[in-house]
Amino acid sequence: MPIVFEAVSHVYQPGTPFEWRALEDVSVTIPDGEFWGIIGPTGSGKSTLIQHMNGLLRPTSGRVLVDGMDLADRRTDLRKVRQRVGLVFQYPEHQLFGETIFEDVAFGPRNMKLDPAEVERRVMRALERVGLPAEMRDRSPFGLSGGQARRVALAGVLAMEPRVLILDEPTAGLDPQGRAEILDLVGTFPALGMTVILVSHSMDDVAERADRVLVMHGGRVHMVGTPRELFSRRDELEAIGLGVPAAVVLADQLRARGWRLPPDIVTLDQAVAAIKAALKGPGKGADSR
Amino acid sequence: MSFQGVTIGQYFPGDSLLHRLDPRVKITGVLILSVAIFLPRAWPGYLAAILFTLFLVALGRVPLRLILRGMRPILIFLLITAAFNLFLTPGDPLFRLGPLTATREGLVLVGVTTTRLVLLVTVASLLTLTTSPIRLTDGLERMLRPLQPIGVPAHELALMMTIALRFIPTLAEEADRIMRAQQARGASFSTGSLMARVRSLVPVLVPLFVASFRRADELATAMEARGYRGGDGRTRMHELVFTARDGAALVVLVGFLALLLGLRLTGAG
Repeated sequence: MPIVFEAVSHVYQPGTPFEWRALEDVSVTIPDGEFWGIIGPTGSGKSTLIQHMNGLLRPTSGRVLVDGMDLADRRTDLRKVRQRVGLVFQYPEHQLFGETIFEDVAFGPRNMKLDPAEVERRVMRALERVGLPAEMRDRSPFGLSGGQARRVALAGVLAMEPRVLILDEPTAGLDPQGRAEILDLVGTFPALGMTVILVSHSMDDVAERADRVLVMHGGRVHMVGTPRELFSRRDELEAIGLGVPAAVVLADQLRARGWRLPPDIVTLDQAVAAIKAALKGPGKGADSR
Repeated sequence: MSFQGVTIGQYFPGDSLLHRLDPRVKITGVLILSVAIFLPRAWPGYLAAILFTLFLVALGRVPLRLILRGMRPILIFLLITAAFNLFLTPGDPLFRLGPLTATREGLVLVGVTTTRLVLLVTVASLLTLTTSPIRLTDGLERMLRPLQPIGVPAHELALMMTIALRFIPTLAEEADRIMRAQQARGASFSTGSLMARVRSLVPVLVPLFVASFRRADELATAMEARGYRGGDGRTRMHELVFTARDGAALVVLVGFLALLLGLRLTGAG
C-alpha cells in the first residue's frame, strides 16, 4: 500500500491576509514496509504533509493516493483510510479521555464497529506491544507517568492495526532513556509488516533506524535519500539549520586529519568500531600520530 | 467543524487620535454618550447626536463596514421593535396592512428608537474597535480601583479578563488538535443522531478540560516564578498617563453633553 503524493500543494486560509502556503508541489512515493524519517525545521510543512496521508487535510491542488484511493475524492471512505493509516500526534497523551486504559485504547477499534471479542483481543495485543502489563487495563490513564501515558496513547492507535503508522515527534518531552525506549519500540514495527513514518526535527532520532529520510524545507521536498546519502551533503543540511549526528561529524573531522575510515559511519557504535579498527590496523591509523 | 478563526473582541489596530486616547477617557466617554443619546426630544438634538457620532467614527479611522458588522446582532431586535412601534402606537392612521394600522406617531417612534439604538451600538463598537483588550482591562482596573475599599476586587477582575482573552485562541487551537487526533482514531463529529453527536464530543471535551487545568497550573507556576503576588505594589511597564489631550477630549465630551442638555431644557431639541 504505497502512499503517493502527486504535485501536492496546500494553502491555509487562502484569499485572506493570513494566507500561508504550507506545501508546494510535493511529489513523493513511500513504498510498503519501509521506515521513513521526515525531518525539517519548524514550519517546514512536516505536520501538514502527514495530515494529508489520512485525509485530515485535503490538498489545495494535486493528489494523494493511498492504496490507489484518491483522498481528494469525496467518494473515498476516509474512515477506511484512517483504519489503514494510523496517525499519532505530538504529545498524544494529551488526547487521552477514557475512564480506564482499556476504554481509551478500545476507542479506535470500537469506532471500526468490531465485535467486542475482537476489540478486547486487539486492545490487549496493543498494550502488550507497547510493553504495558495487562493488569494495568483497569487503571485510569490520568495517573500514569509521562512515558507510560504516551505508550497508552500509542497503543490506542496500534489497536486499530494500521498498516501505516505515522508518528509526529514521538519523543518530544521525554528524557534520553524514554526517547531510546520509544524509538526502539517503533523500530520493531517494520519487521511486523508496517510502514513507519517518523517525523522529527532531530536527525539523531531517525539516522540509526530509517531506511530513507525526507527532508522538508519551506514547504518543499528538499532532499530524499538514505541517511548516509544525506549526510554526505552535510553543508546543505546545515544551511537550513539541520545538524547531522555527532558520529558523522566526528568521522568527518578524523578523515580531515588523515584518518582512513569507512564511508558509512552513521551511528555511534559504527564510529567506535571503525576507530578501534583504524587504531589497531597497521598502517591504517592516523598519519598524524 | 473547526474552532479556527474564533475571535473575541474586534480590535482594529490603528494609530488614530481615538486609538491613542487613554482608555479611561474612552470608557467614560461611552458612559457620557449613552446618557446624551437619550436626551434629545426634537430634531436639532438628534441631528447634533448623529453628527457628533459620525465625527467620532471619522476620528477613529475605522472602516464603516466594521461598525455595520456590529449592528448585525441587533438587526432582528431592531426590526421587531420597529414593527411593534409602527403598528401599535395610537394616533393618525397612515396606512393599513390587513388588520393592522400604521400611525404617524408610530413612524416617528420607529425613527427615534432606531436612531438611538444605532448610535448607542456605534459608540460602544468604537470603544472596542479602537482599544486593544489589554488597554481596555487596564483602564477598567484603574477605574475600579477607588471601589477596592468597599470590596471590589479590581485587580483580580482585570486579571481574569486578561487571562480569559489571552487563552481563547489557545484553547480553540487545542480543541482543533484534539478533534483531529480523535478523527484519526475513527471518530466522527458530523454523522449520526443528535445524541450520537453529543456523545462524540466526550473524547474532545475531557482532554480539553484536562488541558485547561494543566495550563492554569502552568500559568500559576510561571506567574509565581516571576514574583507575582497580586496587585499590591505592582509596577507597570505601560503606565496609563492622563495627558492634556485626554483632558481636552473629556472637556469636549462633557461640552457635548451640556449642549444636548441645554437644547432639551430650552425646548429647542
